[in-house]
Amino acid sequence: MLFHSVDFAIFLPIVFIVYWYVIGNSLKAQNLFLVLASLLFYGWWDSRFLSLLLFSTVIDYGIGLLMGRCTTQRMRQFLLCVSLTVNLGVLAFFKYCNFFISSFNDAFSLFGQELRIDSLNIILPVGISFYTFQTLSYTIDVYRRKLEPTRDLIAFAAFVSFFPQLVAGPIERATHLLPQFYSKRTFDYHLAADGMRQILWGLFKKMVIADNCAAHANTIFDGYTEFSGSTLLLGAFFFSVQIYCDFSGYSDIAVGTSRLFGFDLMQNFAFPYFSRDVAEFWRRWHISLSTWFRDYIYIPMGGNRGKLYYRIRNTLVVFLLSGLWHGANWTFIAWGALNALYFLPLLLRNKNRLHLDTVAHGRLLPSLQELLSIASTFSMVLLAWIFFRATSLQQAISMLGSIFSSSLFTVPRFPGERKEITLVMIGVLFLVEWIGREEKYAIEKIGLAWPRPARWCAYYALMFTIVLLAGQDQQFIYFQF
Amino acid sequence: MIEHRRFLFNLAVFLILPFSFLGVTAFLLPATPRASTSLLFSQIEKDLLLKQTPSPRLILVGGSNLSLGIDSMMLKEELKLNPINTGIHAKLGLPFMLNWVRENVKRGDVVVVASEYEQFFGEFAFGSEELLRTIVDVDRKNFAYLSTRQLKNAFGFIPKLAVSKIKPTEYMFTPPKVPGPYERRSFNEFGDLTGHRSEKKGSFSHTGSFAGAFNSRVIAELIRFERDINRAGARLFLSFPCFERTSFIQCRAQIKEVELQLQLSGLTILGNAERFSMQDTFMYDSPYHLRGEGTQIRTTKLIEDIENALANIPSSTP
Repeated sequence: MLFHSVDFAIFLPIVFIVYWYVIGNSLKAQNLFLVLASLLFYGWWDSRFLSLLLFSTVIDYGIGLLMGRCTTQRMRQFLLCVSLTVNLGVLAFFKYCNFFISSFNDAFSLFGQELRIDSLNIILPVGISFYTFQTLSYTIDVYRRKLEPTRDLIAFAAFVSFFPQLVAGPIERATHLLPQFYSKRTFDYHLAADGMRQILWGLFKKMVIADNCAAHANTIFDGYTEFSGSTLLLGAFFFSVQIYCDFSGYSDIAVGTSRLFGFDLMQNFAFPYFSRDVAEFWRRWHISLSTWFRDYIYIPMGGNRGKLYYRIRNTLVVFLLSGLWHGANWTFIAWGALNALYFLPLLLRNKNRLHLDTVAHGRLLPSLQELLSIASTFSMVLLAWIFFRATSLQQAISMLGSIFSSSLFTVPRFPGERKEITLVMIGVLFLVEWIGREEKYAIEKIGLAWPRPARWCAYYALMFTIVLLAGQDQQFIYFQF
Repeated sequence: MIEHRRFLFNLAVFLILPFSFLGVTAFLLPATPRASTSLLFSQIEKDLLLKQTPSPRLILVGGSNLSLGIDSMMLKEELKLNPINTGIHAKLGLPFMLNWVRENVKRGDVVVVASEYEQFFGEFAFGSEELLRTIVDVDRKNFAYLSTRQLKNAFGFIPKLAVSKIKPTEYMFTPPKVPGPYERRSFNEFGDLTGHRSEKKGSFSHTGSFAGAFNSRVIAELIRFERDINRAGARLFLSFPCFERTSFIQCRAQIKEVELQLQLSGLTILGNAERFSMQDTFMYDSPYHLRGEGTQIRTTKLIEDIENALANIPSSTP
């Protein structure tokens, strides 16, 4: 079920009313109802996927309980290995099996050998990478004794399957989300109203900006051989904006929806395109995944401590895994590697934590130096997105070759409608995001002090813009991961 | 509890205004002068063709790949059948097209379905803005051809329809003396669009892939359709849409899947998809729209396929 579909527009109010009005007095009933609603939400795509979700839930619940009863460290290690093997094994099978097969075939052909292992007919279950990482956070935290194993299967199932963030995150930590299922939730008017506001902003980003940008980006990337360097660069720009608005829009809707039910999810994006260097970008982009890798892979491997070799190795491993997490294609691995190359010089010169605050804090405008830093960081990120969006390494390299040629200095031309209005709306987006960059989402505080009629008019205007300018419906990009 | 009620009350008050506006504007205002000239309104004439064209008939079912890619006169001359080209717009969705035609088939009709590949993926076939316009503005009798699923999906476009009806530019409109290629007036007596055939190749995007997973419900709809029209004494053949070569290559894997699923369905298939992938220079303004030369070639291929199919059918079958 997509957040911007009629199905969800019917589903959400029904779940909301039952949750607060019918069973609002019983925590257990609320949790059970959330599980059922989440299974319905997930099964809407394909009911076959439900078995995997339930399997993952039961396995990690059981392993958590067993870990709690274990007295020896060796046994706990064994149980952790079982959890890792099962969860990552399922993920590897569904997501990476065909990638490994085709890479294996290609590797043989490099040596002049013909090996044809047929790829398997596997459907990738929606959101598998997200909920797998979320359940892994539970078993790892239980193993590390950061979290008591839960005995409440319903609460645990609700934690794994919680529909607002099930298919595209934020990837919640068990230590943050699971306890919220234990305590009684009371309806908070302001939290719910804030949630609605965030949903509205998320819909605007997704339907107006991302979907319109997608149409242009698709045109340019699909016909990349026919376009000049300047057009390809514009295509990469459209994709950069698309992926940000698509994913952060989804996260806004997810966080907003969970607030309607009295839950607090972590912030997943913190205005990453206003970053002054790549390290800051990665602190602000897909925060739930970056911090997951940091806490469960990078730091256990030694982080930025130790000899130079280890620091480089740890950084490379995390970025390459991050690339691979996004998809089973060499383009994603190249994207991860390129980001590692951007990041390493900062890390090695100990300049990776220069910008921990918000840019131009307390000021309306950035300084010239800040502006240049933002522009150069955005340019680097934009070039990396070409690898992310391209269907093959060959396409990405060909596009970069055209971009860094004399055709970069021509006027961009490509077919399609609404180019100008899309650029204007992108301008509006960046302006509003700049104004609201110190908040959790751009319009969190905008207009709060206004009288209600003025505030409502602003919301109506936003709704009207969505209706008037919504692009052709596109699936959320991150669903494929 | 008071907090919930206050929230729901305020939300309801907040939403009353936009919802009332949408309902009144979309359903009570008639189609705008500009919209009334669109090709969607050709459904009225095509419906008459379906009801009045005498047997023996050849009914073509699909989207604009048919209206901008078939020369029905050629079909009539070569096959000695009276063609009815029902192709209007792919986004009406194949189930709607099938339900509409199903009501109008007669004994002895030959029905050829050549629908755009998108119909087989995701929810494309089950509701769109064009479908909503067709049921709300063109002819409300069309509601009868829709399932709950199509209605639900189509209703998602009510806001767009409503907004389009309040745009001043929709009313400040004088139809040009020479109709454009997509106007209701541009269809010929068989339901073909012909005005574009001598135009130059336009600029358009290639199709990189079809959105969504393969939707087996569309195949199920086709099987049900065949069963029903067979009962009525008509025959069904499946053909493939004309499709720009470059787009064909980019979407080859998905097209193969469509072909495979159609073969598995047991329906009678004419030719193969590759046969209808057309040279890029034949196209007009989309990967599915042919200019004159391409239309001739595609129609010739279709005639060969239909002749072969009809020759292979035992005389005892309907």
